[in-house]
This record gives sequence, structure tokens and C-alpha cells, in this order.
Amino acid sequence: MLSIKMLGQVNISCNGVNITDKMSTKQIALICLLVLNHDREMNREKLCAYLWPDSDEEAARYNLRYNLWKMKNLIPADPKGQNFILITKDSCRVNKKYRFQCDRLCIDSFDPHKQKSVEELLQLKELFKGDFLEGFYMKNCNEFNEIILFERVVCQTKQIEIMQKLADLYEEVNRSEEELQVLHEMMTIEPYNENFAYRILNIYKKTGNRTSAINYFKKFESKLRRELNIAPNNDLKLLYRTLTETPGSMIKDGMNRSKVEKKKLTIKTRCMKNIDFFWVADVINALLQKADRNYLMELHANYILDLSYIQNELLLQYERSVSLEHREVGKVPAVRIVNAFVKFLNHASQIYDINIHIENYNEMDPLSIAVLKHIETSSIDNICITK
Amino acid sequence: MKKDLLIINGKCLTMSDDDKEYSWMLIRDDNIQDMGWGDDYKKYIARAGKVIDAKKGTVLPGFVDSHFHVVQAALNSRSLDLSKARSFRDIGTLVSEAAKASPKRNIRGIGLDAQNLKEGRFPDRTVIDKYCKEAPVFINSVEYQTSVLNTYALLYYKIPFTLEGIDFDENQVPTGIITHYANVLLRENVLKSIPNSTRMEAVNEFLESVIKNGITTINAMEGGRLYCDKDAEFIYESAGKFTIDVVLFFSTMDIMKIKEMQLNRIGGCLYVDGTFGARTAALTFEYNDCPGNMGGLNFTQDALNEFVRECYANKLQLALYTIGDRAIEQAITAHEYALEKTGNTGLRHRLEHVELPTLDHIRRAKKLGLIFSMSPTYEHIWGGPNKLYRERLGDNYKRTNPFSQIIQEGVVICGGSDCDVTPAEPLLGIHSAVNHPVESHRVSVYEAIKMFTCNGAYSIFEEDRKGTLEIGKLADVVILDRDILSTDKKKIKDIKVMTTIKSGRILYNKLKG
Repeated sequence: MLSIKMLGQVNISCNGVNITDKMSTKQIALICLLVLNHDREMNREKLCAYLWPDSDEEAARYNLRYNLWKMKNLIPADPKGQNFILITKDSCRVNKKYRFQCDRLCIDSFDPHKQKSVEELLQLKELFKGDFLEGFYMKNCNEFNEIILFERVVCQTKQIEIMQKLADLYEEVNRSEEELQVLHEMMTIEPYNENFAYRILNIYKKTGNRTSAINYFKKFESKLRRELNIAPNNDLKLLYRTLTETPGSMIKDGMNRSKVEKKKLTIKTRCMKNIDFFWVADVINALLQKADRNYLMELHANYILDLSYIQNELLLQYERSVSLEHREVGKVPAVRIVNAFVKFLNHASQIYDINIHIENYNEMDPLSIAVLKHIETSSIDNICITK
Repeated sequence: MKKDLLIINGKCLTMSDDDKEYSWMLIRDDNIQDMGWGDDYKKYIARAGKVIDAKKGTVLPGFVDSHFHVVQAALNSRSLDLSKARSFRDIGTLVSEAAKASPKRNIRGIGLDAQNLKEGRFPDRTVIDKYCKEAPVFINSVEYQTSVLNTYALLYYKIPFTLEGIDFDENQVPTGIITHYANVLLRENVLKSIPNSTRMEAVNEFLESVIKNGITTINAMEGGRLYCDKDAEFIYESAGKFTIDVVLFFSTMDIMKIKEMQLNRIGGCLYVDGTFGARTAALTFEYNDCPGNMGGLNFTQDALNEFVRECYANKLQLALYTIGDRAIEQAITAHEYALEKTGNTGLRHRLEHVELPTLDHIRRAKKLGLIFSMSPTYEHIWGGPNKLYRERLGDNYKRTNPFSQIIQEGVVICGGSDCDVTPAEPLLGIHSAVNHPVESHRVSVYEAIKMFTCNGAYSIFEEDRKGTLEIGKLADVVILDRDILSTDKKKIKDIKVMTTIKSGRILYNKLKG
């Protein structure tokens, strides 16, 4: 079957064989004009005016005749003997009986007011591989260039509409992750769209992902300020305020996640005899490497900062994902480190089933031994320690 | 071993606290090795590979230009200047000449001002198409707020047609005039598409002209709105590859990014307000030529307070762009807030431009330890009774750039050209500060030189290495064609730079040995 792709790099193929390279720019433009007007006849004079505006009438008509003939040779008739283009003395048109596919016509089938399934919308979304007739420009064909410009506007608008519809559908059926992904894609097209940003923030809020929500807002706000010198609108600011002022109103991750089976996490840790808290610091580092860092950073800041006294990676991660405010971590008493470590493990075990394997237990420093004993006697759920 | 370089017969102004003047200087490797008077230098003659006779000209520390858009200035120097166009036909003639000179090469026009055109509006794509169809033409308005493209460019560049700011004709086809959000994104796309090799080529070529004006250090204000973050990243990645020192000021509010890049300063062109030219600088009074308009602020006080506080908390030197008195007030208030909240001092924060400060602003800035980074050449171009300041500000033009009061109150001023808004000529800057149209704002020649030497070094924490001529310091040196201190003040702008030396290397020299 004949397949014509006009979105992105033009690609025309017949029964799987790419014939684009065999066609001249004018022939591609001619196909494009006929396909865009597939439901009507196109006057030969009009086609000449689009494609050979500077040639005299006779030369233009000859050029059209020649190119139609070339195309007839390139695009074979279908099994029923139907040709792709029907040619008469004064006009030509796409043959209604000839079966072919064209991405540009497919997206015309989209009507934002009519129902479409997720799968149908996904298929439509996939068609947008780039701009309409990407890389195309015909020096003296002003009218044709205007068609390209017009079509680009139409296609870009359709693309956003389709994605919006898809995001709405995902929202209806509570498929938040997919909705989020589509919205992020929409933001790459319209990076200053505050309605999209609002929806993204709202999804993070609804799914209890407070850290991501705060980070997202800050990045978006910074983008608006940096590139447009404006502040986010009031709706966005109000939503953000609910995140920073009433964290308790959000759905707790733990609550959500406790319903599902916890993910198993195995970490290997090492000891060093004469370095205080070495094993404890290694457990923290190993968890940072393997667990969801954003989730870990939801532990109260004071505990994180206490632990960062023995594990600097924690402070770096804290700065990256929560707050850049410079904090000097002064000397932290051992009792606070032990307490914070237990809170840290408790927090991690809310969503993970953790197996901590100690590779060289004999080398463990005395403070870590004390901490280990304390953990073993506290018997934290979902933590298993092997030596 | 590299041979010594000896400069003799000069008037070496050290610009240091001791206020001394020497007649010769010995440079060994990249440092100043010795300085003295009379014939003392003769003991070094045998080892000197080169001796430069300064012919009684002033010898100064290499100039520091504290506010410079290096990448955009360099790219603009290769662009088509449309600032003198007065009609569509003028634009067309210039565009077709450019197209003829470099067939099929992208044409970037700059400086187009619709107010100067007899048609009173920007041309659309069909107008530009009449003069060039063979290459994409991308024209920037003088303030970069509007872009005009021919049809080729509209199809060539990735245009975000769904964004606000696309102008359509009656057939819903884009006219090629692009503003607002779409313009921001378009500029970003276009500027990003310029390869770094082109940037490097343009910057190196441009720096040659800069060196001829005695500049050895530039504060590069790169990135941010209307410019391009890729410019800032390019300067960051090219550190040490330029013939002179280029100190990056990244105009971003992304503190996290700055920390990741391990930079210790942020800002440059973080716009607290706009410009007098566009009547967007924030004033406490109405524009003289636009009643009812007082310009505008880009931040709420709370938002700026919070951002400045974060900079203090992260111990970053901050440079905020402020022009009108209302913007200066807002910025100083934010600094007061941040200082109170964090207690962090000694970061040498800067206000850029500061064209309309009040005495109260100056005194509060002094208390906060703020530096004013100013461009004296503005006065030369816009100051006085018949120029832009008077037009926009009415009698308040007498209040602009009060250098003398600022210095008297003890606030440090570092001087910059804001190139390419004004030419990269420190001597023109010095001339402009000395010959301020308002007499009471004038400063001495010596104070004006300080703005472009020691104060410039201080404002980037480099006073230990440069900014003065002292033994052990970096040999960044400039030699003038005459004694600047005894030159008629009205003729300072005519003084020529004869020699520029950067870290002991002669980069430019018109004097014979």
C-alpha cells in the first residue's frame, strides 16, 4: 500500500519500498497538494501556479504533465488496476478508490468533541514526528510556502489538542503516571503554559509526591522569571502554598504504598575497624544508591542533617532535592546519630523490604557494633541483617 | 627561560594605596618583577629580551571592563546592523547587499527600531522576501523583544506556532513578526543552534578589537532572558582559552545550577526592571514623554527578598540589574532583608547600571557593602539636556549617574561598557565620568581610572592579583600615547592605547623598542 508521511522528514513508500529519494521536490510538493485536496479536483492551472509560478504557461503545463507521468511510473496501480492519480485534460485528483495512508489526513480524523479511546489517541500522537514537510522550502513558490506555513500551524495545534485529550482521558481513569508523562511532553512544546504546569503539580500532590511537586514548582517558577520575567499565576502559587504549608493534607506515600507489596532491596555493606560509625555511614550510602532518593529525603530535615555529619552524600542529596540553603553541620552527639539512623531505617522500611548484608563483620567499629545491637533488639519491621 | 620585558620612560600610575608613580617597570614571566625611577632600570637591560619606550605616556594596570555581553557582542559584530535603517527600502537594501556578499548564508539583522522607520511598523515576511529569498533572514529589534523573519526563516527555524506572540494575517498564515513568549522561545532555538565553534571564532575575532583598547579582563554577563544560556555555558567551558581573562556572570536564578557549576557568583543581567529607552525602567515618577507610565518591576518585593536571601545563604556574590530609582529601592530593600536574615557579609554584591540612585540609596548601599557597577559612557551618549535621558526623565536627567556623590559616600564604583550597548572603550568611559554633563557629578581623572582598574579587580575579588601595578602582581599593563593626568579633560577620549600586555605577554603594541 502507498504510505505518505508528511510530518517530519517526508517519507513516501510503496508496499514497504521507500521511493522518496526517487522523487524530486516538485513531485513531492505535487503529491502534497493533491493529498491535501483529496476530496476535490484540482485545476491544472492552479497546480501550475503553485509549483511553477515563474514559468510561462506552456512550460508550466509541460512540467506538470511530465511530473504527473513520472509519478504514474513511480506509484504502481493497485491490484484492481486503479491508479493513484486520476488525470483529465483540465484537472487531476487523488483517486477515491485507491487505498493509501497519510499521516496528515489521519490527524484530520481527530475531533476534540468526539470520543476516542486511549489507544486511538496514542496512535494519533505517535504520528507527530516533526513539523509538516520538515526542511521544505521552495524559493519562488510563495503560495506553496504559505500552505506549508498554514499546515504547520494546523498540525502543531492539533498535536496539542490530541495530547490534551489523552491527558484528560488518563485523568478520568486515574492513570496518573501516564497523564504526567503526556503533560511533561506538552510542556516541552509549550514550556510556559501555566495550565499544564498546574495539572502536573496537582498530580504530584494527589499522588503524595511532595518533594517532586515542590521541585517542579521551583523549576517552573525559575524558568518563568528567568525567561519571561514574570511570576507564576495565583492559582499555581496557591496550589504551591498548600504543598509547603500543609504537608499533612497530602496522601502519605507510606499509606499508599503499604497497600501494595513492598519492594525488596538488598544492600551490601562493609566495615572498618578504627573509623567511628563507618558501617552506619556505609548503610546510608548504600540505601541512597539503591532506594528512591526523593522518598528518603522526605524524612524530617533534622534527622537528615544529623546523619549527614557521618555521611556527606546525604547532605549533597538534600541540597539537590530539598533545599539549597547552606547549612553548617556542627558536631553531632553520638546519641543523635543513633536516633536519626533508626528513624532513617524505619522510614526506608515503610516502602522497602530491606536485606542488609555485612561483608566483613569482624572489622566493624565499636560504635557501629553498638548501633547494630540496638537495631537488632528494636526489631524494625522489614529489615533483615545478615553477616 | 623567557626573557624579561622592560618598560622605560613612562609614567607608571600604580593605582595602589601608596599613590606612587614610577618611570620604569620590569616584567618577568607573568609578573611585575620590579619598578623604579631614573636610570635604575639599566641593571636589567642585559637580561631584557625587549625594552619598550613609553615615551612619557601613562602606564596603567590593564583595564577591567566590568559589564560586557561578550558572546552576543561578538556575534552581533558579525551581524547586519539595521540601526540606521529608516524605511523598509533601507532594510531591503542592506539585506540584499548582505545576501550578495555571502550567498545562501543565514542573515541575522540587529538593532532594528520600528520607531525610526517611516512606515512606523516592522516589515512582515513578504517585505523581506522581496529582497532575499535565498537564505533565512532573522532580524532582531533593537531591544530583542521582536523578531522579524522572511518566509525561508519561518520554515527553516523551529517556530512554536501555538505560543502567544505569533502574528497572523487574514488567512491565518504567520506574518513573520514574532513577539512575546514565541519570541523568547524562537530566540532560544536560534541562538542554541549556533555551534560553539562559531562562538569561539566570533569571540576571538572580537577580542582583538577589545585588546586594542587596553582591556585585559572582562566581566562577561551571559545567559538569561533575551540572551542564551548556551552563551554562558560556552564561556564556562572555554575558561582559560581566551587571550584575556573572561570572568563569567551567569544571568540565571537557578542557584542549584550555579552550585553544580561551582561558580561563586550569580546574575549580571537579572532584570529587576527594564530600560529608559523602552520606558520600562521602574521610576518613582512618570516618564516625561509618556504620562501615566512609571515603568515596571519584574519581581514582587517578597519574591526578590527570597531570592536574594537564598544567594546570601549560599554565599554567592549577586549582581542585580537595576536602572530606575524604584528598582534600586527594591533591590536595596531585598539586600537589607537578606542581610538581616542571614548575617552573611563580605560577598561584595553588585548592582549593575544603577542609573538613578538617590542619596538615601547610596548611603544604604554603603552600609550593605554593595558595589555599583556603572557605565559612564551612557552619559556621553544619552546624558545632558538634549538627549535620551532628558527626553525620558525630564528634569530628572540631572540626577542620573551621580558618580561624585557615590564616591564621596564611600561606595565603590566599577566601570563597564555594557558592550555592545556602548563601545568597549574604557578611555571613553573615563572621559565620560570626568566630563559628566552635570558638573556636580563629575569625578577626577584618577577616580575615573580607578573604576576601570583597581575597583574593577576588587569587584570580582581579584585585587590581590590585578588592578594595580605592584611588584609581584600579574603583569596586566596598558601604555597610553600621552600622560593622561596632564591631558586636557575634554580630550581624554582622543587618547590612544599604544600597548596592551596580558600576564606578561604583549598582545598589542604600537611602540617601538
